[in-house]
Amino acid sequence: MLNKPTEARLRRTDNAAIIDVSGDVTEQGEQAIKGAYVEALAGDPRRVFLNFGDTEYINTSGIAVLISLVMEAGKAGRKVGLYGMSAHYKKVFTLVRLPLYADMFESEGEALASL
Amino acid sequence: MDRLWQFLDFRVQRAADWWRLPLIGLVVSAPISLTTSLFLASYGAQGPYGGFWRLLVAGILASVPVFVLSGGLFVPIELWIQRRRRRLHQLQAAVVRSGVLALNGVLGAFVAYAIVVAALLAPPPSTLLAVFLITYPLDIALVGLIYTLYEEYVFQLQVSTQLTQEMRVASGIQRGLFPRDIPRVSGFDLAARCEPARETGGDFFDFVDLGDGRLGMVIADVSGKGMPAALLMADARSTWRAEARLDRGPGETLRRANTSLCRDTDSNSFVTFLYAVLDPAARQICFASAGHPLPLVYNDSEIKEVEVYGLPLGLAQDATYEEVSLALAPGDTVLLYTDGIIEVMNASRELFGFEGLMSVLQLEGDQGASSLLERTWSATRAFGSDDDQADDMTVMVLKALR
Repeated sequence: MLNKPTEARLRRTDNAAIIDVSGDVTEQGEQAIKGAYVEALAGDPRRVFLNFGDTEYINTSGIAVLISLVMEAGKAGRKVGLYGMSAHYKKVFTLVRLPLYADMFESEGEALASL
Repeated sequence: MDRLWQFLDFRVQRAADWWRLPLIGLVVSAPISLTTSLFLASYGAQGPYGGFWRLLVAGILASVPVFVLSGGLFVPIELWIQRRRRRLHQLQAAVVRSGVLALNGVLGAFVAYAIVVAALLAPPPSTLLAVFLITYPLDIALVGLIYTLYEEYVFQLQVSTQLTQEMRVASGIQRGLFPRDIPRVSGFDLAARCEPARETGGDFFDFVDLGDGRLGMVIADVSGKGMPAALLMADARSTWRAEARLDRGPGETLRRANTSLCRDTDSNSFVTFLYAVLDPAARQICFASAGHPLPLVYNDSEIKEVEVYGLPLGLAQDATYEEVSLALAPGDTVLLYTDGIIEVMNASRELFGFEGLMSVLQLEGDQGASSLLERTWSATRAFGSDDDQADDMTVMVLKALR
């Protein structure tokens, strides 16, 4: 199975930064996701959200990248928000205890309403 | 593959290999020599210097010794390059080789011209010398370039063969880390299987005898694949074995293993672990999980997930791990697995998923442990899009006999 490259596009709302993650999240996606996160922080948003609405596959290395990102954010006093995941990956995120370091939302509306 | 690269390895790396270079010069230059001679013969045949065939033979006889000689003179330069292999870039080596050979080609042009002068009845025009001076140095410089490309090819082939061999050895060593036999437990049927996606993998399962008939069982998944995952797998397995033998219970065992692994892993690596201690006499099983997919328990067409959670090992030093105990009734089947099973993808990029695995368990849960394991495997294979396994896959089945 060929992995689709990870893409991370940053967009901003009034007080939040949203990183739309598409493709497959693997170790190759680390630079794209972490790069977008650093870029997101430059605008000093109240919160950064990762949107997985267009993500089809996340392997263990991709999970490791996400855990590393949310843990680093946590150390800096920030709590990242996650939404758009399929039910499968919502369960996987719960198994690896991602909710300890990041909040999970059902939709973008719910995520933005949390601000 | 070994024999192939040994056959192809005609490089001059030691003084004793000197005889190879004239041969390489001749082989590489033979087509060039023939082309040049044909050109000269066609050119000369229109003039007063003899017929086509006579000039062709004269051209070949004149050029071949030049190439052989060039190769021979090239030996000291080649040995000098080889001694500086670590410091000399391939491009620099190509420039040195081609430059030296081009200078030699100039000498060869004069020698060839002198031979033609001596061999032909009528004196050749000075343009023939110009032709020799252009073609010979360029032709022979090409030998240097081709030799560099050839050398790089053989070198890469050698490296790749060595890597393949090392991977094969590593794979054998890793296979040796898996239990040779599945333990027999009174009143229970046990089966387990692991297939890495590459030569080596990050999934593993293992058992440890805890005394009094109790059995420690682990299934784990290291993030990533291939050699880095295999190294972390070996580390995680030995750490777990050392801690498990102290018999402090699954939760405490994982806590201590985590503290140790946190020192060995970087921020982008972790290990999911499911450690279960089976007490066959009490017909009880106690689980602790470090980010691993939940155990499934089947009995009489009912499936339930054992809700046991914990942070994967290697992420946070202060992580603690809860324990969940379960009484096993006759006929209960416990299925443990890694994410490679539920993340098998079909051609439409749909995942086999938790639902797919539960469907297999629903249909085949009454089978014996080995049979259920095989049917789970077959179902994932049938679902998957091709033979290219994307992730390591491991399944362990424990069945309480009636």
